[in-house]
Amino acid sequence: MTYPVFTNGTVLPASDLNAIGLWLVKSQTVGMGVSSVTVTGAFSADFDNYLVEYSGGSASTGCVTYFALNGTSSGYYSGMSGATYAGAHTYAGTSNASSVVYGGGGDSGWVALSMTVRDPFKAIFTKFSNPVWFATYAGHNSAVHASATSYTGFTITPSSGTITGGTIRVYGYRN
Amino acid sequence: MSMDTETKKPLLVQVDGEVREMTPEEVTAHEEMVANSQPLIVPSPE
Repeated sequence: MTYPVFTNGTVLPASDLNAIGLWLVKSQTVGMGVSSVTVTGAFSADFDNYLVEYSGGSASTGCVTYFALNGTSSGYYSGMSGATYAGAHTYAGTSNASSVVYGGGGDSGWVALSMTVRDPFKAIFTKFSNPVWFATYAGHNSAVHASATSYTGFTITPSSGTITGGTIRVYGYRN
Repeated sequence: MSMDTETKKPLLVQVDGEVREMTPEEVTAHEEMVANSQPLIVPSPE
């Protein structure tokens, strides 16, 4: 199907609208110098899977960004693989952690998180996948929250310092 | 003789659109999270 180009005043066929793959569910600007940001009402029965994007802000110091489903404090298992900027392979795993540890990254002048969250609202294990950026390495992370529980929101926490500004956007992937 | 007193900045938490100071319980939980989850770099064996 050809991608439609919409203009003001034209009729919008259901077939075009129903083909929209990502739908903006929630948008939240980040305040100044916060140690964590909690977003509520992000996940619902409307979508099985979501894309969470955070960009445009800044971290006070080099950090990774932890990502946790609201109401959780354990049960995160993850594997991260990447390379140092000097070219050495680097990797890490977490077992029963309090969050997705390698959720994204930041430093003075930037902070970013780009995470696919699978099945957070369903009462099954939630799965995560995302790129990782840090002061000395970059890579990719996958994780699972090993609890068959339904969740509706999440919290982003820098591993050090604070974050300021930018916008967190939550998109639902059409079922 | 003057004494320099170091004032610790309060930790701020944002919930949706509201920014506020963390409660003591939230500070404890936050400090535990960042203390126990420092990113690890494990070089590959040569």
